[in-house]
Amino acid sequence: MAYLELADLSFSYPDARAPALAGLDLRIDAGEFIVLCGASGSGKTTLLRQLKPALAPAGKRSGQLSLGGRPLDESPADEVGFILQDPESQIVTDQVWRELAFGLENLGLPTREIRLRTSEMASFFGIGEWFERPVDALSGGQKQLLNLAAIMAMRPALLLADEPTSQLDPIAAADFLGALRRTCDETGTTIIISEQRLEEVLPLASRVLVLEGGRLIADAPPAHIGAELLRTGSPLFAALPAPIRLFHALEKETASAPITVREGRGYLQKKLAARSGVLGVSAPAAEADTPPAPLLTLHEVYFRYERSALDVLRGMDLEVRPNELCAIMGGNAAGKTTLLGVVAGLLKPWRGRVRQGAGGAVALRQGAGGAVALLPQDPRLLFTRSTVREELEANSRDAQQLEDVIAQCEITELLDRHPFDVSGGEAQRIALADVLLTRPRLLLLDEPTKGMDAAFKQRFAALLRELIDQQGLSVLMVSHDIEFCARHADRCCLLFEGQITAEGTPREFFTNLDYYTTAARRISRGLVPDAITVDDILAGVSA
Amino acid sequence: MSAAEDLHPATVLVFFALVISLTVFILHPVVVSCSFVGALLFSALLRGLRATGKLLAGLLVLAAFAVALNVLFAAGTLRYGLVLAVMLAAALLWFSCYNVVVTPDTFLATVGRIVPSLALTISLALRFVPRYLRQLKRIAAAQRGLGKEAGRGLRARLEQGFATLAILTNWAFESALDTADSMRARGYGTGGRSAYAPWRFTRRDGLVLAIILACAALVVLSSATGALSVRFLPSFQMSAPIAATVAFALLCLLPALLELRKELVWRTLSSRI
Repeated sequence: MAYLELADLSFSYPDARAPALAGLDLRIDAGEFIVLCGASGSGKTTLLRQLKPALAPAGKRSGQLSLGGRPLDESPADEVGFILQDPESQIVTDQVWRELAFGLENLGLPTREIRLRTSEMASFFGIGEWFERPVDALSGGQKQLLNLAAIMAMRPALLLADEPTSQLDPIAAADFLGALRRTCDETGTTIIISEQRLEEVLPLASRVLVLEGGRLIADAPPAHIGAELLRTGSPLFAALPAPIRLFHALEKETASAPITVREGRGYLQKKLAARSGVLGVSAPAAEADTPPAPLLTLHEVYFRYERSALDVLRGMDLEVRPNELCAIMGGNAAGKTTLLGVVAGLLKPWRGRVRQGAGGAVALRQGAGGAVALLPQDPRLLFTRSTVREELEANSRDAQQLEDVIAQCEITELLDRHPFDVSGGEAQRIALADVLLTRPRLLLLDEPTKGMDAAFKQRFAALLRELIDQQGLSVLMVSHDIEFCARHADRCCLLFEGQITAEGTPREFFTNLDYYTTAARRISRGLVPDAITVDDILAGVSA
Repeated sequence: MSAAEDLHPATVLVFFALVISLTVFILHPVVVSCSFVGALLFSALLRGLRATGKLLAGLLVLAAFAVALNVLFAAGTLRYGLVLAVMLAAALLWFSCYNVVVTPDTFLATVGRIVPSLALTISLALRFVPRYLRQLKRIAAAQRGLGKEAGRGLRARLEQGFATLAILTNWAFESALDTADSMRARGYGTGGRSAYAPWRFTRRDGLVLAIILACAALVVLSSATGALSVRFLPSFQMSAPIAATVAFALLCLLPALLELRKELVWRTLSSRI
């Protein structure tokens, strides 16, 4: 008998035309690590919430749900743990120790037991160092780790996590997933996690479930999930990690695919060894045009937030050229968001110059109708009205332009909704429309792909390309998303310690790096020269 | 690290509550003097002579003002004014020490033992205020980044202010829903909530608390029976039995003694290293 069993589970939200979940049959054994994937709106969150009675949304449910041989609704409060997306808002109290104790107090445990369990969790997750700190002093990654520890202190047998790393930077995300893996390995807790970014989490999975439109379309171990998705023709194949996509592009039979970069590299080495001769691939040479006159130049810019603080930008030099997508990458606290603030004119450098429109380009002016507009990381910071239509009309002075922007951002369907009542990707599109209505010449984006699913990233990239090529915009984005930048940027820069330490076309940029680079580059390094995407490798191999 | 931090917060709270209320309510020359000296010593040990000196200067001005006010307008005597001034200074000194020793966190945990739901509410609120302020800053920056800077006129400023408030309200609502989910997911409201505090009530706490209570009881008893009393008008009369005086002096000097003892222990320990 399986630990968790779903038999013909369906669920519809009130007044919804289509069911959110349709006829799910699923058996999960104790101790499994399940990765749940699917596009936004495919029913991942709905399914996870069905498994936690306290969080189940209102609606019509049919079918059976059982946990450990009992109906799920009868399970005690501490049997199932649930981690939400936003690390910040799910923290209840103001102190780390109090947060760890919160769930245990709810269970009515005596002080001795709570002392034991909180200290145990602090030791297990290595958070003893910040045990006595206020929650506000923690980073996003630490907060999410605290949420995990606070839930594990209740000793759940089943842990559900709804895109827990979507708000974290890659390093914090990897740390969090590592902690999750340890939890599963060392305590035998059953884990079901939904994720958009699959590179890191897939190697941990014992099984991958794929939802599409509320139906379970694939259920296989990670090494076979690629074959399953190809068989069903699902667009989600494009979201799979590079080694799997590479494998299925080269192999026709359905064997175990490599999942990690190491396995992918081993596979490619073997594949190439079977062929005679040296690969004669060379990527298209970079155009040697002289770059056009920059739209905006930062020259030796120094910035700090307070007089007594350290410089965040230290002698920053940067050129933003017309009609390009320039990506700034770099770790946490490298100064990425600060850089955008300086370019947008929100922050004033104490030394150095921000020169605009050199070379006779259009003068960039701040203020109403200004030519620089910043799309913040959280799009909801922009929404002031109660419907999307009102929101956009408040920012628009030209009906024709309004219509064009609405069509361009594909938000016609959303016009009568409340801007807070849409998904993350939709909110991003509405905010982008808001920003475009100010007719910027230079668009600044702060981590735009955070939380986007793979399909929407593609559409977002196409939209940016259209804006650049057809409307003559320039885009400066800061991002952690290496794969996105490698595929879609015209120029990449690495920001470290408040300076640009490397820059070039994606190909120059990523082939010069061995670690902070795309998975395809890490797989093909030394095997296929100059390849930075799976397509590059394929072109090299077939040449 | 103060010696008070080695004690259970309840012990510390009881001490401050008793010493401050006895000082204020008994208003006796001997009592206020003992209290003042004890508070001054404790403050000097807690944060150094310089900081205490500064505080004392401020208190002196305040005390002089109180004396003058009393003598000039309240038709009181100079003696009464002096006692009042010293009482005021002592109480304020104790309060300032309290602020150093008892963090909101320890206070909350103690309250939590008595009224758990209140403690949780305060803890939630403590987190909300800085979060709201930070979010307000973010909203203002995001609006400016879009070129929606508040105009010059009052009307424009008001409009922008309302817009910002609207965003904040929406955000707060959204995030409160998340917090509520997180609370329910961790069994909040399933009944039988307990309250946890990480401090242990040790035998040392018992001993210190016993001394505090015994001293205070003696003083209260002495005052209630009239043995410890004072009269300012029509003529000045005062009685202070040795036992009550010693008991109150001990109570007031207790924190300074504990502080000194700790200091001494560390001195000898580090001289041996």
